[in-house]
Amino acid sequence: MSAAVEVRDLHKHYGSVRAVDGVTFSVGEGEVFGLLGHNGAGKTTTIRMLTGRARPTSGTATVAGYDVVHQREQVKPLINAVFEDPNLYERLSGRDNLRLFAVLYGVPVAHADELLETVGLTSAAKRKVKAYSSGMKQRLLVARALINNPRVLFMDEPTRGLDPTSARELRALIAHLAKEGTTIFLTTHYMEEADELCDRVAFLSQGKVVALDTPRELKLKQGERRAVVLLADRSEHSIRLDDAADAARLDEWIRDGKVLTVHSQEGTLEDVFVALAGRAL
Amino acid sequence: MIRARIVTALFRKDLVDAIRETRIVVSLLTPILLAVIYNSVFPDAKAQVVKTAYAGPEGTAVVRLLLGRADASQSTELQLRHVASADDARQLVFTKDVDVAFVLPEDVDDAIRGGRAPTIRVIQPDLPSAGAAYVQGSLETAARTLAAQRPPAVVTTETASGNATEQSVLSQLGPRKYFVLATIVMMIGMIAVLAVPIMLTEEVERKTLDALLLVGSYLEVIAAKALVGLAYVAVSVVVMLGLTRLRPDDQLTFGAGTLVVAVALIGLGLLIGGLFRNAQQVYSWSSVILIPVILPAFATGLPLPAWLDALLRATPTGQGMRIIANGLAGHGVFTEIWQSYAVVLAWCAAVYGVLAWQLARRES
Repeated sequence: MSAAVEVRDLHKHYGSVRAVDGVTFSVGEGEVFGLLGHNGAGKTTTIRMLTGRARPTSGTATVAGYDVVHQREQVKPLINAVFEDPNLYERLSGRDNLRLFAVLYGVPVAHADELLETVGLTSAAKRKVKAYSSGMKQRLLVARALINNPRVLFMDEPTRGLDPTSARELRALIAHLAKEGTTIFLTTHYMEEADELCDRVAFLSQGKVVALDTPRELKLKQGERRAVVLLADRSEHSIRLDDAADAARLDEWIRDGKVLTVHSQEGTLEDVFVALAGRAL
Repeated sequence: MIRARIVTALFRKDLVDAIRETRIVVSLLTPILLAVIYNSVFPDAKAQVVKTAYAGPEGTAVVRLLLGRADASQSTELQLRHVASADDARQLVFTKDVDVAFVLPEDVDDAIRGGRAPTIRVIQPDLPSAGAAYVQGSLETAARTLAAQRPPAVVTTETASGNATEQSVLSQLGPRKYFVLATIVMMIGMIAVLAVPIMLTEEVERKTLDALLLVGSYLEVIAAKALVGLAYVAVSVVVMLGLTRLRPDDQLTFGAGTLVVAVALIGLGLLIGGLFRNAQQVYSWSSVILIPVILPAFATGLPLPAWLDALLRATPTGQGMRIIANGLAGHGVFTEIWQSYAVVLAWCAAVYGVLAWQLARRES
């Protein structure tokens, strides 16, 4: 798999603050890559550097094979982004918002109408954006980010603030885009979301990547193998499968006929993150 | 590099979108309303209008001299009407239909020329006005002239500071034109240092700038804002001239003055826009920003202390007012106008130089 995003020893310092401190990773073509971390961990700064909005202090980064600093103009038509905030022109209609960006990117304005249909906003196309719900705005942001058919789509907290239904719809849309071959670079606070969508995730803590792998491997490597045992007296016990004493207790309960149910319980990404970063998101 | 496609798209968007922002509408409408008010409140040309009635013979040399003196005046308009009798004249003064009246004897011209010292009676109200004093003085001067008397002394006037022509700008243009003109410059200022920064800070505040910079550059964004500012200035000036029925006698100078002032002030507005985080901050600080920009327009050409006059001459609005005033009048109300162009163009070079430096820093 060729690299859509290649980052080597990337640094961004603001005075004495090291917002990004020697980050290295690569993202393959068509991959959904998650960058997870606390507020201030350096996620947004990393995206700003990769999208040409901030110049790295040192290190290199390429997107679609182009250097983000020295070949910024070549990178621009190949990427797009869904920002954390719904940064739309609220006094314009949804259609006018998309048509503006169609003209800016030099693509046919008819593409705007197609995208409105893709995100299910055709019936609201003529309404001013300020009358849209949060979910509708987020869908319009995604439509805007797809206006130039980007090879790499950056999504900064795309489901933050959405109701569960809208968030689920957006996750389905992201999965659909990934299936169609768009490389997606995602930052999120929601571990379940990352687990569901991402092929690989990187944990960022204090500007450094502290873990990078597939969600499954991270859970297997870092998580604890556990099971929850429900006994006849309705008491519930969490046991560690790799612990000899716990295994002996389980064996005894089974022999005594006390066990009603046993549920395996693998670690979550959240557990892995807490173990590596010291606190939950 | 500036791409015309991007600048044009942003220009068209802002042209329509910005006009829906209340604060921008207010900045456009306030000076237009003010100009309409000035236009209807102030007299057309002369600072003082003296309504005068007279009784006695018509068409006398004394009356002709009186009218000639008023015509030559840059500050007084004499509205003269003939009445049948001294009683009629007295009645008009009493009812305040006129400011002053006078009564001429039947053979006034011959009597003056013959040295018989005829009596010309001036009728004034209980509280005499400056207009009454003006008419009395003018009658005495006219009588002396008619009697071929040499004045006992030649009194000339010298202006202590600046050019006498400049000091009389208010009388040369007349209050109506002067204040409407100042309001036009005020409007350019409000568009440039209020509307344009609001447009720019809105993009930052709502983070739409982030989306624009994914495809365009900051230079393209501010170029579009500058063009929108110029378009608003062009439309507003035409609307204002139409509403006030002012017609510049030298349209080229008027247009050139308006353009250079607008370009300089819009550059200043774009710099100001870069200092604020949101449109509300710009609005809150607007009075502080606007006073030094607008004040010179209203003070230019008025009798001021030398240090203040020098200060005003260093401002783009003060010098712009001089160029535009010359364009409106069609002659040199202000002299050494090349200095005005030089000052405004120096401002353009300075603000766009700083803007370019800011852009270079931002891009790096």
